[in-house]
Amino acid sequence: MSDVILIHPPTILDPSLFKRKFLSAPLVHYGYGMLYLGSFLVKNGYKVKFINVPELYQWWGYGKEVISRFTFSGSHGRTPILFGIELNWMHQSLGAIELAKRLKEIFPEVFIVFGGVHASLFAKEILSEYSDCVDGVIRGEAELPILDLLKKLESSKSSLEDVSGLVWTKNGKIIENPITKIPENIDEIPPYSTKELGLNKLFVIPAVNIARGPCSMRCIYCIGPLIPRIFGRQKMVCHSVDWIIEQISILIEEGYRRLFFQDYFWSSGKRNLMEIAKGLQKERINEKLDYFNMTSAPGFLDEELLENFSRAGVDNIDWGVESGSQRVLDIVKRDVTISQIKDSIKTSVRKGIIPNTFWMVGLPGETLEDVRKTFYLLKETIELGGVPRWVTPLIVVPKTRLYEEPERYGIRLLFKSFRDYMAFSNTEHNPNAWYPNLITHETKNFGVYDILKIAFMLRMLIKRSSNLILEKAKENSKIYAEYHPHLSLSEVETRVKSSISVIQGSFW
Amino acid sequence: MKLKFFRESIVLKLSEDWDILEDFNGNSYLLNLKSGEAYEISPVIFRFLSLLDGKKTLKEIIDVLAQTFLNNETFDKSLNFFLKEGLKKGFLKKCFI
Repeated sequence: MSDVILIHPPTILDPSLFKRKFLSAPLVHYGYGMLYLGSFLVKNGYKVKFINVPELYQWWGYGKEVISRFTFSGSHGRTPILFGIELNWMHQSLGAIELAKRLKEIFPEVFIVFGGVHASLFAKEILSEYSDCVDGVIRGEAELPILDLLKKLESSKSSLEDVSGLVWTKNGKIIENPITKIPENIDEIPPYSTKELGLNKLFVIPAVNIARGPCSMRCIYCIGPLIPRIFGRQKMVCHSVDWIIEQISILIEEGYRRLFFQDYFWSSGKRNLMEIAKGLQKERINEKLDYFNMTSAPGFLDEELLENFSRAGVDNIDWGVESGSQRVLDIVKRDVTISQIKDSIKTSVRKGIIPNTFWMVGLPGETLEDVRKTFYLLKETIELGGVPRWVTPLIVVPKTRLYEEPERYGIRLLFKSFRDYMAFSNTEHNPNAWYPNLITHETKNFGVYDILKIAFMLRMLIKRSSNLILEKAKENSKIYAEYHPHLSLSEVETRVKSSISVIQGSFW
Repeated sequence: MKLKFFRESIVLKLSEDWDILEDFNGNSYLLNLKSGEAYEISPVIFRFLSLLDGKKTLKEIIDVLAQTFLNNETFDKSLNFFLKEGLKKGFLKKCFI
């Protein structure tokens, strides 16, 4: 079978500049979508090689010769049949394009395909501007399309017209194939093993895919509700408990003691969530972990679910609070109430789960009075035991309702094209998270600098409240330790201090 | 108010790269709009900076401040130090009218 090379690109290709760029450090990890894609290809008999370019820079030094024929060849020095470049985050846009250009120079005969969320959102734009180095973009879930694509490339005579979701060019014309193939039974996609895929563990976040498909919320700034239209999957489907346990067991066997559940599975309904939590409990997953994080919107996990996820091992949870103003939450169609926010935090603490809180400013319709409400809710959540983890200006994500209808929501877009979003790749790191050039919009009430100042004000509130946050965490540490013996007082302190220390630089 | 290093007729303004900000708890900050670098400032300095309009003399501003804040040695020292630092670090500018 032929070789396929799947690549995690840097934010910017120039190795000497890469070190200094915005958010380059956290983006050294593979997205798990590519890991599942790789596992699926291996299952189907392909030789898959993974290359993490930031990792190459780290081990081999920051030299330009890193991107060479030698590094990017397949097994036994063979020319691969396909390069798959991950473009999940907007921060990777410039690096992904520069990498494709360089690879096209070295391997003009190899098909280069992009995949991932950001690539899917801008598939047509990427092909219209960069068809000299990008041969195609697969929109949405890539497992079945890439298999078809590989078969066609191997037979070399077949047309690409029926490769599901592929955007490509034919005689200079961009062709957008409809999305026709989506795995019905997602358990057929094998769990990933870093050992089998030949990955360096340091560059893999042990995250588990639980669900695929749309989130059940309607937030106008998020891609989640638009998955059916953009990525083709109409309904959320979840992996079976057995599959989830198998994936977790592989990760634990490979030495991971940390675990992350970060997709929209929390909106899959109580029955399903309870089944997952009970399944994890049965396997005593909690005894094998030092850290287990999951995410949710407030109001989705009631007391019984939180109790069961805590018993299953979840020791901290990311609550997307976003705003303290009910009026603003209503404008952005985030179906969450202020009392649900407070209840979720209080219940998490009671059930032994450290509640991390995430905040957003620069939302449509937000006034100074709304900011005041967010400021006071932030204070109140700290009193309740909430640990602020992230404060960011809203970044308008392409193709969301907010992006498609800015006038309706009273905002003016400053970022519109794929090229505009490349600013996320090559902006210099700023320790104060002060990025005026990365603010994607202005609202009726707030300009770029107002949005930055509001974010600054919330971050400063957190900084000033450091002692109180720590004190509350210490107060609650007995409850945490009852559920999770590894959550000693010093462990809780370390985690909280670490959260506070990154707040000043938090952005998007 | 005793000004150690400055004439009372001097007119100052806040540099364009800097701004002041007060949160909902009454904490005040001096903020660099280019870098996000920030300093916490006292209420009296915040009030002082908010009165700088490039027209009022130092004497006029101090007279306004005196209506709200007690004049004492600590206050004098703190404002003198701030004025000196402000001109040195560039967040204050002298205006020539």
